[in-house]
Amino acid sequence: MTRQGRAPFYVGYLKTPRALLAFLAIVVGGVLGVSAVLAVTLVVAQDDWGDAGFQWGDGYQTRTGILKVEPYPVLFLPPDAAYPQGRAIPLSGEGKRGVRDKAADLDGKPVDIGGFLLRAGDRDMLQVGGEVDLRPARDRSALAGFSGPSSEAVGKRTLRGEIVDSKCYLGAMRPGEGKTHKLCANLCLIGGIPPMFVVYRADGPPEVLLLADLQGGPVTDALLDDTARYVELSGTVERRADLLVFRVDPATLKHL
Amino acid sequence: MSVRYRPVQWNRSKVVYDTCLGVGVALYLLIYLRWAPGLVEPPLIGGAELRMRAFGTCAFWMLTLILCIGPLARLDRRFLPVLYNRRHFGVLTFFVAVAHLYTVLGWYTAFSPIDPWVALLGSNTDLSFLGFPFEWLGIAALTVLFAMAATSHDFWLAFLTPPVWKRLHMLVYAAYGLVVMHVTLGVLQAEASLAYGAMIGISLAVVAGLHVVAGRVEARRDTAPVSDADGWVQVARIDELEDGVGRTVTLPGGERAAVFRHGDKISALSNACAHQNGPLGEGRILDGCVTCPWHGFQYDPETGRAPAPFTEKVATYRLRRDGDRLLIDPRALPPGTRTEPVRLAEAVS
Ligand code: FES
Repeated sequence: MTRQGRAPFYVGYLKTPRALLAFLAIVVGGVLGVSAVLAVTLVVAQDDWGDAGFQWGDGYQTRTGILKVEPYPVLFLPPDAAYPQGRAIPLSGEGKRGVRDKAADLDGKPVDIGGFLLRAGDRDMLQVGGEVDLRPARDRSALAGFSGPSSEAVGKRTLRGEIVDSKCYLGAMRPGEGKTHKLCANLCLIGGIPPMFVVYRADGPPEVLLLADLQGGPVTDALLDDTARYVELSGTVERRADLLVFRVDPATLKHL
Repeated sequence: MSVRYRPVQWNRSKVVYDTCLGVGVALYLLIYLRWAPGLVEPPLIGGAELRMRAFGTCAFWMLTLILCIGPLARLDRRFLPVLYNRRHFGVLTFFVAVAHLYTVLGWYTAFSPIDPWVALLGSNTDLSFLGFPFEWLGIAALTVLFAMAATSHDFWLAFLTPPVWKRLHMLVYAAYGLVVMHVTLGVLQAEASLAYGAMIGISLAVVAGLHVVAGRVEARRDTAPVSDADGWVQVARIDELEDGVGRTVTLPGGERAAVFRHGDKISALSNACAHQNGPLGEGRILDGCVTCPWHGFQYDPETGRAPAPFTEKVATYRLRRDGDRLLIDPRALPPGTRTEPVRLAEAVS
């Protein structure tokens, strides 16, 4: 036992001894300093999640094209100089909702679509809503006889990547992928947002494929437990305009 | 010490303590949300995601600090003032954790026709280890923090009795474990950056390390008691006792007694304060009363009773002298029993 008769004794409801005050000031200053360094480190050290986002700056957009409902609603634009294969724009509703209900009667038909764009890399998505929303096309002349894309088989593939909800991944949230976002991804998918498979590549931006089941229909329910993880899936890939569609057999899914 | 229960018995120390807490939390959040993002080349993560992380990491850092206070105060008594108002620290941590939850509810579970709470608890059902719904772990930790914050007041301490209250509040270790797993199966699975993993690792190492060191040091202080033939235990040589300063003795049953010299008299009480089991043996005599080092509850050294109007009382022990040795009877007397002090004058004579 050391002699401590002269050490300052602290009682909360009495005046704090001077010697202790100096010590406590150092402790408080130290903790505040470490807190500041911690806050800066944790912000600066975050991964780069890319620059996907809503294109609010472009304003309200309208497009006219052919609507395909399966596996998930996608608008196809006729080929032009910039997109000789034609262009595919997956569709989402507002919030965590898809547009399958609105689209059901217009499958394969020319439609006008209005809303706001989301973009990641060169992949666009349209959040349908507002004045034009989703309606039969009023003026088909721009389509110049275009009646929708042909499907071109790419072949059987086994791919590794992450199942994401396309809306968040393409810019509604950042990050719109990964475990912390899994809760949100599942809500979006349950709400009808098209699921996509993101294949990360060492040599360039990730490849993004629209998911479907082997028959080419929606596959959401079978994949909900496996979103936001690194997984392997097997199936066949086909190209529709500039969009790759990955028809998968959920039974082939493997966690990596 | 209180005769009546008031929301908070404010005093200067508590005001200063809470001001430091408030400044600390505000500083951390301001830096995280306003200043540090400016140091990063755009694009940064989204605003709501940034707020989730700001509140989450802030609560984790606060919980780490709270768990360090106990062992630090045992190792160095100068940390006792930090322990004094630790409850307010805990309550504030709970509120910061609630802010974290509400940011999640206002973003990840928003914009959906599904009820946010149903979504939070039900939309991830992957029970594999790495896919585990880490949200559940966070909610469980928050529930513990809520129970602690809600019962932090002295009213609940008296209502639940100190042993039950203490056991309830030991759950803070369970909460910490849950939070560590919440972070490990959550953001560590998404974020490749080493900083988040390092934060968890350092926190665990410091919290566990301090507890081990403090435990060792205390075990060394608990020297095995030396008993006389009739079972009485040797406390010290009488001339070793400092006036007004406590001394802790470990008794054969593992109990501890606090022995005090007050003027020319020597008395012994239970070492466990009736308030929150604070170590009375590390206290002092102030105004003729044994004063607890944790929150300053006071007891008459000869009776173990708090001075009127307070009603707390602790057990007392009988002492006797044998030449220049002081001996204690390890059988505690019922709380509040008056004992005859050993007189220094006759002892030395
Ligand atoms: S434990 Fe609170 S005053 Fe003793």
